[in-house]
Amino acid sequence: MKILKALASLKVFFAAVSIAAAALAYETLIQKDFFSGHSSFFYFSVFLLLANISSCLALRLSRKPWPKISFVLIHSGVIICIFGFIMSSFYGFEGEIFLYKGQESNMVSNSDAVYKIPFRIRLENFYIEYYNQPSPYIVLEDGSRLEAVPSSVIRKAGLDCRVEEFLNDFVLNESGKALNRSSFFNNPAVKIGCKKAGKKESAWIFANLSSHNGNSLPFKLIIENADIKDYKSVISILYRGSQQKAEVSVNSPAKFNGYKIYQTSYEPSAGESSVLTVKKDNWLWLVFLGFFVLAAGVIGWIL
Amino acid sequence: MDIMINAALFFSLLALSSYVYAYILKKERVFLISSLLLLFSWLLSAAHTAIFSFKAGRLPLSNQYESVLLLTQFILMISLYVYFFRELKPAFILPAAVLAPALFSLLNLLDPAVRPLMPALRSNWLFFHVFTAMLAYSFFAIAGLRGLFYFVKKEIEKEDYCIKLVKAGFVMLTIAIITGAIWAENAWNRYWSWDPKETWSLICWLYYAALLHMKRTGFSAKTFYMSLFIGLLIVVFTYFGVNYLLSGLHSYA
Repeated sequence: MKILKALASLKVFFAAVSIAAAALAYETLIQKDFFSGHSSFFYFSVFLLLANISSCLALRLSRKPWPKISFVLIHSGVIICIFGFIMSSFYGFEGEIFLYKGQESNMVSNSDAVYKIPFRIRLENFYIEYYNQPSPYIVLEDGSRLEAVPSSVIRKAGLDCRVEEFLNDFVLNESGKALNRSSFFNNPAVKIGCKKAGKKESAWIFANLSSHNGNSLPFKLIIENADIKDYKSVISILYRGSQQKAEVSVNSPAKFNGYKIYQTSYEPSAGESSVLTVKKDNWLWLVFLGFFVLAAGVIGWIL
Repeated sequence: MDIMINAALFFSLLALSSYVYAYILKKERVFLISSLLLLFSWLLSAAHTAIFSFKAGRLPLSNQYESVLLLTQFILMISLYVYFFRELKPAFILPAAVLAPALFSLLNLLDPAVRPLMPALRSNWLFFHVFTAMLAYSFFAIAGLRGLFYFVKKEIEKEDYCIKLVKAGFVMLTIAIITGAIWAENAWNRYWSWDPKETWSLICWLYYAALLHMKRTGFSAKTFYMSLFIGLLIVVFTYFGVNYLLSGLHSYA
């Protein structure tokens, strides 16, 4: 009982909270990196806090009058959350998988190793949705602009130029020919041919490069309305001879056999490809239960 | 749209000046003028917020400019509501009179362009998470400046509003952290990534949890008031400092 009272004291609470806050502040300010949760001071403070809150709750429930329901919910919620976090961090699993369109794999990787998941994922399609149709424009030195479409003509300041070609995702193939890698506006480029003093000069101008691209043409390429609304992967999940199709987008992961597949990112330089994350966490329900109990507690406390 | 914010800034500066004038010369009626100027400043900024929301097709929630706009609205609304409908005491106007000009000035430095939401922010959780976070910061900001006021004046407030503000702020911060975690689980595959913003929100939460327990331990009112102001400094760092000094997943904020 004495130990319980000592553990339940506010002094222990203040000590645990101070150590936790100091450890967190140190990791972010001094280490200047994402806090990796590897600080032993922080772990110690979490266990101290867990012991403190549990003891406090046990002590209060063993005495009459019983505490208010909001008190019980708030403190229980924190305890459940901490348990959930601990179980989740030990037993949860996640790994990333990079797929080109048409490629399939069952290997995912994280910072520790490469893992084999019990099903295969095939990327059937990847697409980027824009809010509006992106519009390319060539901007001249005087600020005027015109649409960057083939056959657009620029006749200003002694220049006689014509837009020869526009590619929304420029890439050079093995023989040095310029191609469109994908239908997305990842690396927009426009080829402009100019006649000056009888000489013809052609050059590519890239939207993603801020300088004049090392050539003498005084133009810039800008893309308007290129705000991305969403990016999605259409995948097939192959498991024991069966095939299940799913669509994965940001904020909308796919679910399969206790696993979740997230649209994490995409690689603009890799064309039609997708970066997915596969995750399994059997203790997520405990964390969410803690959240629910804690939220109910604080709302009950304020009402 | 910027004209409205500039006008709101002008009237909020007038409100602050008249408050200081009233305080130094002990002119009670001028406090009321100060509050009316602040009310007018709020109406202008509310109109600006409404126009922004209409243009964007959503509430201002997605970047620093929009969240500062929302924060200013909350600070003014809470302060003016308490002043006009609960307690006609000048101390309720002071935090808003100080914070409003500062925040309106900041809005003038930020990019006001209306932009469509990026994929990660296209979720219903955006509203619950950012709304409750800004509400929490508002309560803490008002409590922090009120605490500083009473600390400097060496007085004890009779109405216990400081603790009520901290309670409300703590509840909102708890819900903001929970909704953020649930959203992160859906969007970033992890409910907690130890992102600097998340880490400092947790530091805020721990700090105010300790502050709420202080009342039970016999800490002096002076210590409590100074702790409120220190809490405000932690909130300011969580909101602004993290964005500019530490990079992370919340970089669009």
